[in-house]
Amino acid sequence: MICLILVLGTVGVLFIYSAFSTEHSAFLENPMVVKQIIFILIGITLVAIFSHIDYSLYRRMAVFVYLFSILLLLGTAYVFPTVKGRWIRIGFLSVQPSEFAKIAFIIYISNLFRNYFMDRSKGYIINLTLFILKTGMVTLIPFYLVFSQPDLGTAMVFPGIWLVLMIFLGTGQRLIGGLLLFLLSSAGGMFLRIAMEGSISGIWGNIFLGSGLWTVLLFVFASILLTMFLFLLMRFLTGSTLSVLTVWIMFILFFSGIYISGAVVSVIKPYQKNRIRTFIDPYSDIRGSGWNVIQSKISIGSGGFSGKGLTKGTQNRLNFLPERHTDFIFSLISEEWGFRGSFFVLLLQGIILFFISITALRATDVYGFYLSLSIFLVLLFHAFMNVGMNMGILPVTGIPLPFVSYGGSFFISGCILIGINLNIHSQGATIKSVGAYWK
Amino acid sequence: MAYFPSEQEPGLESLRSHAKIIPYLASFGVLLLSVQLFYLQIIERDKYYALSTKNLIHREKVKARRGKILDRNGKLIAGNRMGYNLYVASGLSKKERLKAITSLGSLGIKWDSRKYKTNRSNLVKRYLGYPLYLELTINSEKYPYIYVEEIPLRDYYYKEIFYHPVGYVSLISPEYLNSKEYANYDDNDYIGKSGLEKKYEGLLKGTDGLRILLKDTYGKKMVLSSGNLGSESLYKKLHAGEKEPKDGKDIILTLDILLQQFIYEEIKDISASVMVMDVNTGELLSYISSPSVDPNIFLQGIATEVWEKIRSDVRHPLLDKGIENFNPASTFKPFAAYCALMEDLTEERSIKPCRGVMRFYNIKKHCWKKRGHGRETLEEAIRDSCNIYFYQLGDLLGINKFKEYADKIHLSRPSGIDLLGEKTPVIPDLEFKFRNKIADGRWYPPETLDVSIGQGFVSLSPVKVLQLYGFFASYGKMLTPHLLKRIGNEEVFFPTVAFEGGQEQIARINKGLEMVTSWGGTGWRARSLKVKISGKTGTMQSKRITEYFKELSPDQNEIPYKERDNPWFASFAPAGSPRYAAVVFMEHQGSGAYLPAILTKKIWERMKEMGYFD
Repeated sequence: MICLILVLGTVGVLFIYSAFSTEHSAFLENPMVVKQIIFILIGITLVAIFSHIDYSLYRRMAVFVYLFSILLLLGTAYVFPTVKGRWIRIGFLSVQPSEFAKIAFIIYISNLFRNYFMDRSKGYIINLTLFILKTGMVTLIPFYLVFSQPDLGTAMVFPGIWLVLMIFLGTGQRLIGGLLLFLLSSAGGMFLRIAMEGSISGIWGNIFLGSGLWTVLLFVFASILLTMFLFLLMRFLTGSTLSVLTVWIMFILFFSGIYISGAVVSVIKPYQKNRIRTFIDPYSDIRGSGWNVIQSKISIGSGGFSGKGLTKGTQNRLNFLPERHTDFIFSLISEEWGFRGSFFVLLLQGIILFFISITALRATDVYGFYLSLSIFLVLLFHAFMNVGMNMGILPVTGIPLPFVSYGGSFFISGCILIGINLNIHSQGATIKSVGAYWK
Repeated sequence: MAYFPSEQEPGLESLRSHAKIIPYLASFGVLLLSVQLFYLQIIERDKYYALSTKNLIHREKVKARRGKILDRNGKLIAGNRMGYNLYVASGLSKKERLKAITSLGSLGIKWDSRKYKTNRSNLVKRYLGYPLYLELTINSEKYPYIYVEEIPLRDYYYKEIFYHPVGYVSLISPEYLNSKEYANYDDNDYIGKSGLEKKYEGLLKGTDGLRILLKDTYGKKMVLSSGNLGSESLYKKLHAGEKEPKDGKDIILTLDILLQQFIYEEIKDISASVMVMDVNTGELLSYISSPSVDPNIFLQGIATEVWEKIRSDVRHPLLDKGIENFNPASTFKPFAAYCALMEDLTEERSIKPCRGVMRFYNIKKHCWKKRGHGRETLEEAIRDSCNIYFYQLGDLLGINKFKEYADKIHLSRPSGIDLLGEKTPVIPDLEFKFRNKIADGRWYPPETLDVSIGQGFVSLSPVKVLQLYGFFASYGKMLTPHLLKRIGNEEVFFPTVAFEGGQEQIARINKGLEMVTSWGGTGWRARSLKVKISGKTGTMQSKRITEYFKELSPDQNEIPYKERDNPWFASFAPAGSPRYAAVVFMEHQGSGAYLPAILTKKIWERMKEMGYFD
């Protein structure tokens, strides 16, 4: 594991150097390179330390850690002098509290889930509702604080983990399923509305995009039809035992989500709309919001199989690639090392993720399970969102690539997560292979 | 169960059974991303590579210098100077455009940003003044998003004097740009619109080069170098795409600036055409059509009132009279004499003395001299320009003989002067009226009589008359009058056709032409003590003169401008062994014996002073 981190870290350092090779021709002349090397060394040490701390310790101090991180975030927002709203200065160091809030959050929320799981037989609807509200609050507070920094990318990690953990709550699948459906449909509806804005107008535009009586009637009518159709289909195909009512409620939720999205669209700001529109079609505004995506895709594509060579990428040298030492470092690697290099990096990320997911299966207690699952989700979220964003298949949210992108706090928080995970792993049960367990 | 220790917490099993799919999902996710990566980098690589190259390349046309135009002594007639065009940069956001408007406003220039095009640079103003250019280049950081580009412009140093032979250039019109023929032109290019500028456009234009600059994401331009690019191989590839411009060829004309200037100053207010030709080579020392306009005004777009003034001028300043057709009038008589001599008709018994009037086909025909010239030889008839004598010659010859000899000595085809738009001479024959559907299409003998004195259906351009006199002066050579002497250092040759036979006859005609400027000759006003001049007057009638009108014989100044006669004077010198020929044609200036004769004398004397006869 440490080797994997070291390799990724080294690749990162090389490309941080490359990103600024037009300004600093010598390797060690670049202060960012030197800093990152120091961070890697600290990170590796932290992996070793945290892998020897019993993770059950965190369960006991989870609340305090969480509250401390929230205070730190509040301090970042209102008290401490900051850099760009994200970093607080401590002497010559700048620390990113949101990174440590992530760790604190998963420690705490894993504990909440564990506690609920243990008492899941007590009550049902009321308990579950209370639990959802409670964990929702726990998620929303750091989400809001980080989001308003503003750092949408990191902020998205919190609700992301919350939602996925919900699936693994072990009970109340229908309610959670309905909730997820509602959230997904409202998000999807929002995307659709923004995409269609301007392309549909007149009476059809009013019906599809508006929020009047006709729109409601359209959605209700469509939901009834679809429900009947799908119910019959499911009956026929799977012999499902779901009642018509359940399916119906699901679809009412689905379409109300779409309906709600109309209200959301009317509230969000034009620049945020622009971002979403850019994601849907980067070429709609080449010089504006779509620029980063287009240039990042060009960088990746132009690398070909073997790349243009370290420090020789033209997109890099002529500044076409934005944020190329942090968020878009994957594009930089792709341009200069080609498919060989970028696939290598992706593979290493995959191996790390795979290793952590195995740990979740090996955990011998519920807390360990939730904790390693959260760690998996954090790293998965970062890696996939980043690579997806670089390749233009996910919206640009400004999220760095674990162990590669420049950034001390980010690298160290990643190392701590790996350290915790290693400890869970070492205390876990032995399985020969996942395949064996699957059978 | 067997794989797990027994001390695990209760219920964990159900969680695991949910989570067992996670490693697979993770692997599947990595696989999906890899597929996308593969798609981008391997399958679509070429597309994106082209895009990345397009990103950083800024192609810039390097304009070829338009060839200069020089006179025979190497003095500059048309050259180039720098013009400055003001642009707004491409790819600006709305905010940046506003800034561009503000910086333009601070320079006092208005710009409509609605016409803004993102994908290319936007021209705001042409022909920026030099102080503004300096301000913009020195304080460029004060004016963001706008820039100046240098564009070579044409400059005609002698203004009106060379308008007709040299012509002018102006911005190529947009409809030309789309055609294939003008593929190598862009909207900043100037193109020859008339005269030699148009005729030799291909020589003068040259080939534009291509320079490649690097531009970064902010549009900042950099020199193309392997250092800036970071890659030697890409540099070489891009560098190979660069092209050096090939400047247009300089052309040296046969014209003499000093002579041209001298003659132009003499006739600039008169509608006239004057040419001087070397009768050994066909080189034109002077080519003037007046009045003229300044070719520089076409460069920057012409003011409406100036244009209206030029357009409404009855003297037609834009018309090149040198290549327009007119009745040659009496300057045609030597050709009639040539035909008659070749047919050996001049000694015919039937030729009667001139009594001032004579009846042909029941029509009374008059000589210009009321009392008549009496019995005359051919030479005397030329000297006196006796109409009756030439009527009789024409009658003896018949119209087809004129045509036959004109064809033989190439008088009936264009002179071949290197200007565009030369009119084909009109020498009628029996079928002429039929072919051209004039009146009833039949040729009547009295019409032959008009042709024999250069009136009626015959019409020649001044350059053609000059060529005819060149033919007499060189004893039977049909020269090509031309303006181009050299292309760069390369001598240019124009064809000369020498006709065998007829030299004795021409000698007789030349004798007559020499007598024209003697005391008592019709062209006595051209007589000069410094140069011996042979010549012939001519007076083209603008209006059909009635008997009654002739009786009145009013002063030319009393009749309306448009109805005044057009005088000619064609000449060559020195009389014995001619070296140069000249033609003077004026519109509506009375008799050829007056102004043209006087001007001709001045020209020859001036040329003598300039040493042309040494």
